[in-house]
Amino acid sequence: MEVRILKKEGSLVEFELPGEDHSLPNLIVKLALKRPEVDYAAYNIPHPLVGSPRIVVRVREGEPLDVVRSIVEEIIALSREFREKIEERLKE
Amino acid sequence: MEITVLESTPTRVRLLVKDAPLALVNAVRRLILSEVPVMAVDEVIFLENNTAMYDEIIAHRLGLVPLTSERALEKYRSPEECAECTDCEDCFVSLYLDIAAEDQPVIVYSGDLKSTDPDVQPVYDNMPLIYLAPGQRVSLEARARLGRGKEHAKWSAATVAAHKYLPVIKFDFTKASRETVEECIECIEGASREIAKKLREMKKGEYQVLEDVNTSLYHYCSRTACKDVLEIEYRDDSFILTIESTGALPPKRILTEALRILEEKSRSLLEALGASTGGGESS
Repeated sequence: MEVRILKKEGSLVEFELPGEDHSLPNLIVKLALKRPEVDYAAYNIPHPLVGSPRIVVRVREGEPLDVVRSIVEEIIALSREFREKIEERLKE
Repeated sequence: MEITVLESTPTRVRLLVKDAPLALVNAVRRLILSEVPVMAVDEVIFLENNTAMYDEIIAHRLGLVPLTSERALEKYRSPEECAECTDCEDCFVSLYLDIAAEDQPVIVYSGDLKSTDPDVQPVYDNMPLIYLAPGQRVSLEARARLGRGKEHAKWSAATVAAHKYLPVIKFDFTKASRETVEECIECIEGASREIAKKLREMKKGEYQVLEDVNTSLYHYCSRTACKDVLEIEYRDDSFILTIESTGALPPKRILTEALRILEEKSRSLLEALGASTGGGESS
């Protein structure tokens, strides 16, 4: 997946995910907002046909990109946990 | 995170997902509809078609026929590799159709499609495709490939992928008058007799609506016949996820595939994020 960093100023980072839709940006933003170190998080798709989602994350402390990385790691862990539970509980 | 299976049939599952973020369940729902690949007819070569139907309409209908895709996911190349190809290896499966109506009209069914790969067949063989009047003939080669729902809905693995908050009925019949309770239960029966019966037995407490019923009637009841006796709430930490498959993939595979895609996407995003900073200032 391609990532375009549009802005990185101190505690704020804005990046774009070309070719993605709402699925991942919404998940990143909602998980970010649950964290105490995140001050502000939002995403926007400028145009539904041609735009790519732009995500903005501002943190209270620390490096904003590290926080984003940690959120993505959380998503990996969550999806793996979900998948393992499905495989265990659901019979064919 | 806790998952309980509420219903499981070869084409449909309902799951109760507890203690998972709503955004995760929603991402899974979205990925099921737009990203999980399945087989569908994408190109049709007409050798003959003198039926009343235009080639394009028949091609469109063929596209909407669900094809078994479970083995195909391993055997064939990804949608991204095949989308621009016309003659790539390991991309296409051909399905042939050659039927003529002599002196009796004939209805062509999905089961009449002859596939070159036994792993990729129409899921149902009783879907009517074309009506042939006497003397008409249709002969074609349909080429199916893997695709994703975001490109065209014919490649959506699921016909239904939906989630809702867990409805909980809070009620207390002990304080109300007998007539009120009877009236209230009668109202509740409108949505489900089973649930009404259980509420009557419980008399008071909380009832989690795990049955597949429409709970909007309970709102009406709580405002009218059950005023001050019954309330309906929605638990926002538990969700009921419903998935109905087209038959191309079993629901379990759809779910695991969607979650695998989410994991892969996240991994590749993590990799890209690592690269884009170069370990320090922005590049």
